[in-house]
Amino acid sequence: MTLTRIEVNVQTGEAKEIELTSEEIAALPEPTQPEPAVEPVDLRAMIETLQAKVAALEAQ
Amino acid sequence: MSLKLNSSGGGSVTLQEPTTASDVTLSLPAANTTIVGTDATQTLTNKTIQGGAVTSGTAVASTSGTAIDFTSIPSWAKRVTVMCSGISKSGTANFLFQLGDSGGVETTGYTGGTFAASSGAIIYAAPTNGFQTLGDAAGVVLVYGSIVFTNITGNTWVASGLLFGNNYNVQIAGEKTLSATLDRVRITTTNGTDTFDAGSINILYEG
Repeated sequence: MTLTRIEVNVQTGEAKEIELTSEEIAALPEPTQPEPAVEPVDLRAMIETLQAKVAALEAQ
Repeated sequence: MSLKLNSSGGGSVTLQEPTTASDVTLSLPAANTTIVGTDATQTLTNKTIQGGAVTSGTAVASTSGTAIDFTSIPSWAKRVTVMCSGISKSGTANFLFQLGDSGGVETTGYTGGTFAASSGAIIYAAPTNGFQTLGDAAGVVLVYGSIVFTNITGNTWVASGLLFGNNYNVQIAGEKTLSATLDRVRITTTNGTDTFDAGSINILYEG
């Protein structure tokens, strides 16, 4: 697969697509693992659990 | 004493000195030009306003390539804003913003971090190779927002960004000191190989 980058000259507006050189390809970051899926957190349930714990402590 | 130039049309032009006790020098350009008068409407031609003006670059469709570079940013620029409108890419890497100078885009020495918050989750990253987004996913996820780079002193630039995509609100803050005067910014991805496949990107610069 050919890797390219877009280069835009902000003063002339000229845009061109340039193929990455072998040096640029070699300098690319190492592949990283995809981020793990984030599990939704039930904040209401957490608060209720904490409130129950606080109530239990206060009852002691 | 005034100097009067008679015109072949019958009129004349008078060069009148001001009423002043000091010496005043009127320096004329070494070029064929027209000195601005007092007409109600004036047109500035071939004049460059440096500083005080906000200049927009050319919006580019971010639908191909692994990186988009905005180059030839003037040396007098003190603030550069990168604007992203519904940008997307082919893989699951995050977007990465980098600064550069005449020596090229710099890929090390960045300080700062990114918080991304969604309903029920906060994730964080502190890369040193640029300023990155978080929480991006492949395909249809579109990212909107901007990141502003402000020159605090010398070649040191402070970054402040706020973007949204994939149900994440992304906050970016940090700093980067370049080895020379900033003249380019790059928008790429954290793996460098994902390709842009949607949206558009543009910059503003101002002195």
